Amino acid sequence: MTCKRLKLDTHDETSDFTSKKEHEDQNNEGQRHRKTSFVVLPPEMTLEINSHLFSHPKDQTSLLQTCRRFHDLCFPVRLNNLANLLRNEIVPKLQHMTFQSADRIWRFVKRIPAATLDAVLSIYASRYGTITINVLFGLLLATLDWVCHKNASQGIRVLGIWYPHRYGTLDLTTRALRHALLPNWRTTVKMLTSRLSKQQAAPIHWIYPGRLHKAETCSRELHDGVVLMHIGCRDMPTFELLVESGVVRSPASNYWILEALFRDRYGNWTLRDVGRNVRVDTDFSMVEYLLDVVGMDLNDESVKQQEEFWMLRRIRRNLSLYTEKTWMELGPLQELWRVYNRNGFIP
Amino acid sequence: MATPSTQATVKLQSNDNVVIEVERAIAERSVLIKNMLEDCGEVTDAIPISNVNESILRKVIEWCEHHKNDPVAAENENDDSRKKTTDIDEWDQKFMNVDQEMLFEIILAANFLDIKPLLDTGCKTVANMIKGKSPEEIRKLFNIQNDFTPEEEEQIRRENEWAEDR
Repeated sequence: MTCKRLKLDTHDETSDFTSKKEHEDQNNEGQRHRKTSFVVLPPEMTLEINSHLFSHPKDQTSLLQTCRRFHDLCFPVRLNNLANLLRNEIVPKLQHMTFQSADRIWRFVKRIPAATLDAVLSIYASRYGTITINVLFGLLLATLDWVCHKNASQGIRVLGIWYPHRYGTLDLTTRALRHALLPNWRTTVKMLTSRLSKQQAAPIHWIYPGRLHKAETCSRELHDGVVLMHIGCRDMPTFELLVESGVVRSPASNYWILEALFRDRYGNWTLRDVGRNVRVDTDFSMVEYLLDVVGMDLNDESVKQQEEFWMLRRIRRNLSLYTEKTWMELGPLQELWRVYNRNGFIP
Repeated sequence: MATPSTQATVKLQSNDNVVIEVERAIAERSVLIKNMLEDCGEVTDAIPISNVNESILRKVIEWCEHHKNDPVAAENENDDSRKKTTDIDEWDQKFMNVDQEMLFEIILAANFLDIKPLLDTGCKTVANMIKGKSPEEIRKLFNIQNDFTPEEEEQIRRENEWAEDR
């Protein structure tokens, strides 16, 4: 198919295309004179037009700013288009990432207000289900590559990568979750880590529960300009472990963590100076998240037949192992515990 | 449902009472007409197309003639697959190279007649007219009055600053 950008330069701006009804409306209201029939298109047509404008958020923004009509019509479509953008533009590029593209993606994502991104991801999740996690991990990869870029250009050294779910999300996955991940996720992370390591001519520690001595090493070595990268969910036990192990110490800390986190169900990732903003909260439940990803309903009797259920049992056991807190003390997990209990699923 | 008809042509009557005879296969690019013919069987009278005048109807028929051999999209085809690009086939570009009034009438007719590919082409054409333009340019192009107060405009600009090229 030959595709060319259409240029319509034959329109006659001096013509009066206004519908009769609109003339009457305008006469009645004594309002401005509109000369185009564009405004007489019914809203659904405007939405159709709007729905094609996803290649650049700027186009949507322009429409949002044009008049109230567009403002009313554009926003939900723009969110939808952003989801398209994530799916069609960003995720495929992650397969062939360059510093430039990762930086562009990073800048793009960083500029999206958190609420908008949440909404996008929610829409994305509702529409594409497990692909959501592809996007999120894709964004994490973009972050990693961005760090490579910064590493080269600004001399930032990466000391360690906190990969909390070596025994968690990624390794406790069921088929459903594994298939939901980018197929080459691990390979890509390792490749980027290797590149990063060569760039800085220094090893990068992989830290995860069970290798606390690595975290302790990191906490000794951390200093200005050194980054500890946190990949994955800031779920309760992980973050607590960071604090307990001394990796995250105090607001006056002299290090910072590039943290890609899932703060809520669908994730809200930020680049923040965690060292100056240490906050342990329980607003995220990994189990809840996994339940959502795999689409499980614990009230469904058939659930106990599913592999996912047994995965959750393992997660629950591991959560207990990783922290001194009991299952019941994990706040948002209480409800899940209650459901487990009610259904006689206590491991 | 009536017995499927084998008639070769059908008559379409525009809202200005002009009757145009077209091949049935061409007319059936319109889902509305296709369903009507399937429901009614043999139709000898002209089918009134009440929302479309002669010039637009002829234009739509011209499009249908050109695309008569295109595969018909499945009913349950994912809408997203129709909306992935704003690319337009070269013939369609020329076809849509009309004044705004006719362009919008074609879009409305495509919507009324339920011809999704034509509707998409029309909407993509307008989308392409909008792409890359500033709000002021869009207003000028379509003669749209800015009905935001300065405060509202500033707020919207601020809220959407993240999407601007910087």
